[in-house]
Amino acid sequence: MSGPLLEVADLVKHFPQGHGLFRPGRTVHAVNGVSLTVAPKETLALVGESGSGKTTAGRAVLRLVEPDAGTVRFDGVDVLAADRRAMKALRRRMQIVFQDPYGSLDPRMTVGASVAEGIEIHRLAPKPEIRARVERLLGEVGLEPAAADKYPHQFSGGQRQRIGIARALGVDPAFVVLDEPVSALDVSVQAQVLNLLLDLQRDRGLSYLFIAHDLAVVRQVAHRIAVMYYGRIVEQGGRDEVLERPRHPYTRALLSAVPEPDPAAQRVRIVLPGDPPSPTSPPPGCPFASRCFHPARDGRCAAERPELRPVGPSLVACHHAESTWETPR
Amino acid sequence: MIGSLRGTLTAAWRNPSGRSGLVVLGALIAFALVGPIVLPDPTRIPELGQGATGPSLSHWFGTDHFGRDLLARLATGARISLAIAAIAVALSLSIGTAVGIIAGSFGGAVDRILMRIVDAALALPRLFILLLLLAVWERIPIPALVAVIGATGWFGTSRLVRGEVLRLKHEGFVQAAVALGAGRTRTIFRHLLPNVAGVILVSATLSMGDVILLEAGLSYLGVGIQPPTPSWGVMVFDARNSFTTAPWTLFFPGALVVVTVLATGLVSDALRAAFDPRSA
Amino acid sequence: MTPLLTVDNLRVTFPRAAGPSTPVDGVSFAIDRGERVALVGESGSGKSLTCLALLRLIPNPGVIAPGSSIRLDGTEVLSLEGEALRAIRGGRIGLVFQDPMTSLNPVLTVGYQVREAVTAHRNMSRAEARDRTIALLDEVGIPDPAERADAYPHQLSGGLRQRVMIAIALAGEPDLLVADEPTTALDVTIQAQILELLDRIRARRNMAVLLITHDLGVVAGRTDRVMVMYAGQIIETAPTARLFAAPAHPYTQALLQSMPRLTGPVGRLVSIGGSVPDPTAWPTGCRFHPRCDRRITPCAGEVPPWRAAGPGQEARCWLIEGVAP
Repeated sequence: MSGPLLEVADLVKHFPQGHGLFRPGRTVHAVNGVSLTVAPKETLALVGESGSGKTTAGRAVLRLVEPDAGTVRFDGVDVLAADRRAMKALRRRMQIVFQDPYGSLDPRMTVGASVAEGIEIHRLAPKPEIRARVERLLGEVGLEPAAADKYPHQFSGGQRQRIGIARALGVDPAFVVLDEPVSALDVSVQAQVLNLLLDLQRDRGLSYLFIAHDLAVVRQVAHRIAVMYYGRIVEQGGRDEVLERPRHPYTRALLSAVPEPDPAAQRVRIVLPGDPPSPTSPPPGCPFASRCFHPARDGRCAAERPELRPVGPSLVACHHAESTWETPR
Repeated sequence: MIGSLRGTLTAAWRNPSGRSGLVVLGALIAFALVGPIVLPDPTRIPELGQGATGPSLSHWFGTDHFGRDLLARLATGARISLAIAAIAVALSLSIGTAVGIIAGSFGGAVDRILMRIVDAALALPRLFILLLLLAVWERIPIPALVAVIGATGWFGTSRLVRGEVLRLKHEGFVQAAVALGAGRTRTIFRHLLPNVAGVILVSATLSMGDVILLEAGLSYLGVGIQPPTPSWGVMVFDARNSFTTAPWTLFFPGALVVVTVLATGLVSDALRAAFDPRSA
Repeated sequence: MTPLLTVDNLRVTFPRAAGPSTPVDGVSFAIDRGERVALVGESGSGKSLTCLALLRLIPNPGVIAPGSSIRLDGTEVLSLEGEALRAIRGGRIGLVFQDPMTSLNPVLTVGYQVREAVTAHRNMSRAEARDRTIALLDEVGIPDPAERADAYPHQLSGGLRQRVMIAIALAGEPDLLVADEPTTALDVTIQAQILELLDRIRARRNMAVLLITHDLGVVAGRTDRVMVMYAGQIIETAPTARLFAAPAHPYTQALLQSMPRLTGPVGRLVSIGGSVPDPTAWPTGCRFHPRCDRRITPCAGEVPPWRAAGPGQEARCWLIEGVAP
């Protein structure tokens, strides 16, 4: 396998919050040292619940939010050091598709104008040829050419998501951040869009950073999986390794919480107590310690934060990742 | 921008209340354009001054206490009041929109400084600032009056626009444009401005009414338009001594102010709906 | 014994310039005391309007069409007015909405909001109401209920807010709890907590639950019976285990196949072509026929009748030969 297309190291993003006149500012630790790589034509799934920092991490990679620390290299280019011109060139190769199919299209622009935007910005085609390119892109995502003249509100959620994909493809990128691309869609439509994403990856050789919360969805598309909790990656590895031999207790809990449409295959349901710790006051030890059900958990968990380290073929951030154990009943 | 100006107006016309507003505004503008040409000189005081007379066949809306034809004065007043309002509002909207968009899209120190200035300006009553200025500058020419009204009316608009921009900045379509490599200019003109147009329109009609009333108020206080030039405000001012004996001298200019403000409100509602492509 | 709730030929119509639309078009079902029933459908299927209709909460300008009937314990809900109707809303039927953030008033403490629901249906002293409130908050698993009662909604996590919503729904001691996508806005680990809580409370109170959801995965193992809705109509009803083991209607089958799973083949999923039809123009005959890859001659023209497909299982499809019930 060739070297990675995207290399992210120790990415940090904090948001200052409530800097009132008389209140001391607090800081939300959204992303706290995330490292990951994505190889050409590969899909890395970044999985976590709301507040885990997965969305912020995805946007920081594209500098839609400016990271506070860390490095991002894309095809050997230092993304965070890029000046305006270099950044514009990078944007042709790194794209994003958003979760909300309603907010992600400008309601005042025709679908054709939205899809043409990248082509215009980067002058990828002479004016008279733009229309033909837009129609070709719409065709590639399974929409009629006539869609170009309509407005977003005239389309269903699934169709809008296709339009958002066509817009991202307009600049012919190599890498796309997919930020929960199917979470807002109905099940039957979700399958259509996932299939489309798989086809596009095959036909165009795309790399994906697939941000999601649903492990069953992730399983269909990802080659590797990184599980995030509280701003950090807690487990990272090959898809089957993570799904079949989860080593972090949080990964186990996430897996058991996936609603499976099969009453016969009743797995043991782990119901995690409580909520993640407050994002403004990180605990000193393992952030999962307060909800953990690992039989070997001890005082070290609350006192000392586990680093992400190799355990078998995976990377795991748990002091007790080696001990094998049955999920409690 | 959705469609053409014509398309937007057509859509507003289809809306019944928008249509009635447009009809009234159109009639007022026609009255302001044509009235002064066909009606007698509004400033001429007849030599045989008969004082204020009620509506009659020769003076449909009656005369004021100098015996001047009220209809003619209303027509010339419409020209002045509507022109002042339109130009002053256009001026204040432009400044307010520019400041709001700059503050919202740049953020950081630029935003903080601009918004502190706006806060300070909003804390002072506009009428007070205007009175102060006009006290210093006696017999102010009309263009300067318009400029002063316009320059003191943009604070609220800038706040509204900034708030919208802050919200829009985090919408997927603006983020997508940035991710596609759109610069600030493109983001502002392609995405932000068209999407705040609705807010600006509402703000425009609110200020339209405000400015007509403000000009009337200033003129009433004797520091705006100077007699004998009629504006609706001046006419209300002139009626202050005669309205008990000749109520029509107060009623007609007052009614026109109210009707204009109401009609702009109706048109604004219809335009706002027409601007929303979801309503098409 | 008569069922707790009987819905018969429920139709909800919205007047439109181009003729009325009927997003709920002839829905009939019954729920027994203590039964756990799921109403499953995609967006636009009419499932949420059906649930709002039970409490006569159809948004303007929608109306429940004449000829519809909703009977609770034999009482026709559609003919109730005023005080009698309020006794049903939040009283005999409790309602839990999808979004706990917008369903709670942000400027009132959660304790106040639960107490309001407690005192809405019975007279009691301040102290009694406060005790009852704390007991309810405790029942829905809110830690330190006496202290949390003084919290404002934004001070609680999404999961705790949804627990507060459930406490409010329980305040009137309902016989039927209608939960409209109660976990859709929540994270998966929190979703598991809430579903387990609902099940525990139902068992303890012997209350019936109508769970409305788009997610068949939520339904498995947590309900006795599933009704599948498509384009304003129920098209299949079956005991939960039976539905998953042998779905009878092609729509149910396709829906199950299109779900991504943790087991089985990886990669391309089976998907249903096209999209949910618009309530202003339902297809003729079987409403699923334009998207169905097994349609036969009568499908486009004639409305399929209910046919028995297995024990306790019925579906509206021309393909079903008919099994003795």
